[in-house]
Amino acid sequence: MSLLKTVLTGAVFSSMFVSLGANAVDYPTHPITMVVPYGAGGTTDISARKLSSLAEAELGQPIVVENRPGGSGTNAMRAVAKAKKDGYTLIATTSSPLFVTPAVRPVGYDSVKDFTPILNYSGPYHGVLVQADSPYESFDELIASAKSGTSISYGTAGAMGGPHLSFELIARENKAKLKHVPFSGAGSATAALLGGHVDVALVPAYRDLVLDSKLRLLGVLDDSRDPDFTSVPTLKEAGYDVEFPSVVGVMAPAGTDPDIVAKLEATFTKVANSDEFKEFMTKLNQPVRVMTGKKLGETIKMNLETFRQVAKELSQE
Amino acid sequence: MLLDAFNALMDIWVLVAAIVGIVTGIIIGAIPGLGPTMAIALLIPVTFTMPPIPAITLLLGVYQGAIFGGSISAILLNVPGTPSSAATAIDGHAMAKRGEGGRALRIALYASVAGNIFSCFVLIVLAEPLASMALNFGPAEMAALMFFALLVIVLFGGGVRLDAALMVLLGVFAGIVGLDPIEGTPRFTFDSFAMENGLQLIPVLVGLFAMSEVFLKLFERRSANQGDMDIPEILPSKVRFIDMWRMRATLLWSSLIGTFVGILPGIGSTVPAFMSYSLARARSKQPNKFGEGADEGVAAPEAANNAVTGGALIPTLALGIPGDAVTAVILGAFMLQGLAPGPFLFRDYGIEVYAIFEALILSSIPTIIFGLLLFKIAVHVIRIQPRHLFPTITILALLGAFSVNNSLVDVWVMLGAGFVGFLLRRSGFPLPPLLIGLILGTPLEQSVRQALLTSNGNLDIFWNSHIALSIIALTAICIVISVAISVFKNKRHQGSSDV
Amino acid sequence: MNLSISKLLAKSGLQSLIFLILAVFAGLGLCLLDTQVQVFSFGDSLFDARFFPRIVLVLIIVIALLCCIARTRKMDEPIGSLAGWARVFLVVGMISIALWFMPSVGFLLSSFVVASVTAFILGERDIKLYVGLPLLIAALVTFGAQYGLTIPLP
Repeated sequence: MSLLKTVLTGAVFSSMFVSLGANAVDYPTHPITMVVPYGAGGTTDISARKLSSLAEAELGQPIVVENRPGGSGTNAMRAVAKAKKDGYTLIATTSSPLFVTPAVRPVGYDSVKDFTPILNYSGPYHGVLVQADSPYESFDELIASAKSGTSISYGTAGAMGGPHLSFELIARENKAKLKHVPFSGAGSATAALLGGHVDVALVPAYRDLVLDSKLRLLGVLDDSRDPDFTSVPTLKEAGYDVEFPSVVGVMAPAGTDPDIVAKLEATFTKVANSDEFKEFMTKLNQPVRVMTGKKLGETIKMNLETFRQVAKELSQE
Repeated sequence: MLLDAFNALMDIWVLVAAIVGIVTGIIIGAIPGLGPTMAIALLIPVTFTMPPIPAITLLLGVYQGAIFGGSISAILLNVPGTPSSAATAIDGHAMAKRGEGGRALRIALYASVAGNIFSCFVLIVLAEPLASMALNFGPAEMAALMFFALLVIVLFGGGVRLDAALMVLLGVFAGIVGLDPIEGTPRFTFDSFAMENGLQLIPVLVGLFAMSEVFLKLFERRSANQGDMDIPEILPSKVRFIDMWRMRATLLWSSLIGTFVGILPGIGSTVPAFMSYSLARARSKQPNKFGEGADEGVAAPEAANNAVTGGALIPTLALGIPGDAVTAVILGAFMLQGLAPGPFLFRDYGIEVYAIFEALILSSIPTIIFGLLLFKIAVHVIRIQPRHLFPTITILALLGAFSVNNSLVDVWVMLGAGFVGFLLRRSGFPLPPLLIGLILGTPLEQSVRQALLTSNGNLDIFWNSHIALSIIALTAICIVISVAISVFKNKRHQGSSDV
Repeated sequence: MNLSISKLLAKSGLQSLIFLILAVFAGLGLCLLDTQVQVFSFGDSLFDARFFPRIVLVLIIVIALLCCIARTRKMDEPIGSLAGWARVFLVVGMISIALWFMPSVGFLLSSFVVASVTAFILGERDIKLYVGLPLLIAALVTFGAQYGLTIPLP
C-alpha cells in the first residue's frame, strides 16, 4: 500500500513539474484560439486571419480565429481578460476597445492590468478628409473657418470614438464650431462625405478615393505620417495637440507565462515582417506597423491616460 | 468586355464553386438562426487559396442560396430561416397547411431567381451611375425613406392598422434597448454590460417565430393520448411558366424595390420583402386572399429579398462601402483576392468583376436544379408529427440564437421573445410589424438625429432636399389612400347592412 | 355610457389584457426613462437620447388605450384553459433553468433535457422517441456546431 502511495505521489509531483516545464518548452501542444472583437470579413478579422495562418506554420499548431463582435470590441476584451492564462487564448484588438472606450465608460476590464501585450502589427491611418471640391486646402483653413462662425459638420465611424474625442478637444481649445455627426461605421461616414451631407469625415481606408481625386486629405490623426501621402502633416505637426494613434495588436491575458509570451512575440514578429504578409496587407489597403509588446504596452498606457483626461475635460462643460 | 468575361467563366472550378456555395447557402439558410454571414465567414479561409473568380462565386452563391434557403423553413414550418423570409412565411405557410407546400416552394424558388437575375442585370448595366445616386441619400433622405417603409407596411400589410401600429412601436422600443446610436451611452440596459448589445434581430426573430410556434403547440395540445395529429395531404405541385408570367407585374415591382433599397446601405433585405408584400397586397384585386395563401404573397417578398443581393453589391463594389454585415464580409473577401473595391475596381479588374456578375446570373441554373431536388425531400418535413418536430426546432433555436454573438444573453432574449410572441399570436396581433419596428426603429432615429445635427437643428433639411420631399409627399399620399379605402369600405358595409 | 362600459367588460379577454400590460409597461418605461438614459453634457439640446424613447413610449400608451376602446365590434379571445397556460409556463421555466445551468453542464445536456421534456409534454409517450430522438438530435447539433461550424458552445 505504501509503495503504491509513494509511486502515486511521485507520479503526481513529477507530472506537475512536467506540465510546468511543458508550458514553455513544448508550447503549443494543442490549437490556439485568436479572438477577434469584430465580425468576420472586417479588416481586423482578415489581417488577424492571415497573421494566424502564417504563424501556424511556425508554431506547428493551428490557430483558430473566433469572432466575438459586440459592444464596440469590449465584449471580446472582457472575455479574454477572464480567460485561462495558459497561452492558448489570444486577442487581436484595436485602439478603440484598448484605450478609448475604457476612458469614457465602465467596460469591465483594465487594458493595462488585465492584458499582456505581445506585439503590434498594424494600425490603419485615420485622416481628416474633405470633398475634392471643398474650399479648404489645409487643416488650418478648416479650423479658421470654424472659428469664424461657420459651423462645420464632421462625421466619424461612431460616437465616443478616438477621432470624435480628439476633434472635440480641438473644437474646445480653438473655440471652433465643429459639429459631430456619428455614423455606424467608417463606410457610412465616408459615403456621407462623398454625398456632401457632412463637410468633413474622420475615417480610415481613404487611399483609393483620394488617389481618384474624389476626396482631399487635410491631415492625419496618427502619431506618424501616412506613407502613401507623405506631404500631409499629422495634426500634431500642424500645431494641434491631439493624436489618435491607431493600433492593431495581439494580446494575451495578464499573467501568462513570460516564456510563452516571448515565443509568441518572436513568432508573430517574424511573420509580420515577412514579405508575404506585407504583400497581403498592401492588397488589403492596410499598413504594417510592427511594435514590440513592450512598446505597445507603453502606448496603451499613455493613451489611456490621455483619453481619460480628454473625457474628463469634455464632460466639464 | 462581357464576352471576355464569359470566357473567363469556362472553368470547371467556377461551376464547382457555384454549386458548393449555393447548396451550402440553402442548407444554412434553412436552419433558423444560422445565416449567410456565418456561412460566408466560415468559407472565407477556404477561399484564401482559390483564384478570384471561383472564390467570389462561391461566396456569392452562399449569399443567394441562404436568402432563398430561409424561405424553405419559412414556408414549411412558419419559422423564417433568415429574417428576409419572414414575409414569405405569412402566405407560404398558409399554403403549406393546405398541402400546397410544394407549390409555395416552387413559386418562392422561381421568384427568387427572377429577382436575382433582375438585380444582376441592373448591377451589370448601371452600377456606377446608381452608386453615385446612392450617395445622394444622406441622413435626411434615409430618414424619410425609412419612415415611408414603416408606414407602408403598417397601412397596407394587412391586419388591423391600429394593432399593426402598436406592434411597430413595440418593435421600435425593443430596438431602443442598447447603446444610443448618436451618443453611445447605454439606454435601458439596467447597468448590465451584456444588455449593451441590445435585443439582436436574429434571436428575436427565432424567438418570435420558432419558439412561439412551440409554445402555441404546447398550449393547444389536447390530450396525451391523442395520437397523431391530422396532417393535410401533400398536393401535387407543378408551377408552370404561365403561372409565374401572370404575376409579372408583381415580380417586376418587387425586384425593383429590392434592388433599389438594396443599393441604399443599411436597410437590409427584410424591409424590401415586406414592402413588396404590402405593395402586392395593395395592388391586388383580391386583398383578402393575402394571409390565406396567395401566390403573390410568396412571389413578391421572395423576388424582393433576392433582388437585394445585386443591389447591395453596387455600393460595395463601386465605392468600397458595404451596406450590411454580409456585404462587409464579401468586401473583405474581394480585398483578400486583391480586388480592392472602390473607384478603381472596374477599371483595373473589369474582366474579373464582369465575370463574377455573369456567374451570378448563371448560378440561377444550379439554384433551380438543386432547389427542386431539395424540395422533394424537404416537403416531407411537414408530415413529421409536432411532438417530434418541435423539440428539434427548439434545439436548433437554442443553437441559432447563441451562434449570432456566441452569447447566452441572446438565448435568453430568444426565450423572452418567444414568450412575448406566443402571447401576441394568441391574441391575434400581427408579428411582422414588430419585426420591422425592431429593424427600422434605431436606424430611423439615428438618421433623423444625424440630419438635424448636420443642419444645426433646422427642420428645413427635410424640405430642401428633392429626394426627401418627394418621399414625404409619397408617404402623405399613401396615408390618404389608405384612409380613403377604409372610409369607402365602411360606407359599403353600412350601406349593405341597411338593406 | 353605462351600457358601453359594461359592454367593454363583458367582451374583455386576452386582447384587452395585453393592451393593458403594454400600457402599464410603457408607463413604467417613461418613469424609468431619466434614470436609464443618461444624457452627456456635450450632447445636443432638444433631440437628445431621451427624446425618441419618450415619444415612442407615449405613443404606445395612447394607442394601446385607443385600441382597447376601439375594439367594439369584435369579441376578444377568451383567456383560455388553465392547463394550456400551465404547460407553457412549465416549459418556459424549464428552459430558463436549463439556460441558467448551461455554462456548467454544457449545451448538449441542457438542450437535450429541454427537447426531451418538450416532447413529453407534447404527447410523446414512446420512450425511444422522447429520450432517444432528442438525445440524437442534440448530439448531432452540438457536434456539428462545434466541429463543423466552430461555434464555441458552452
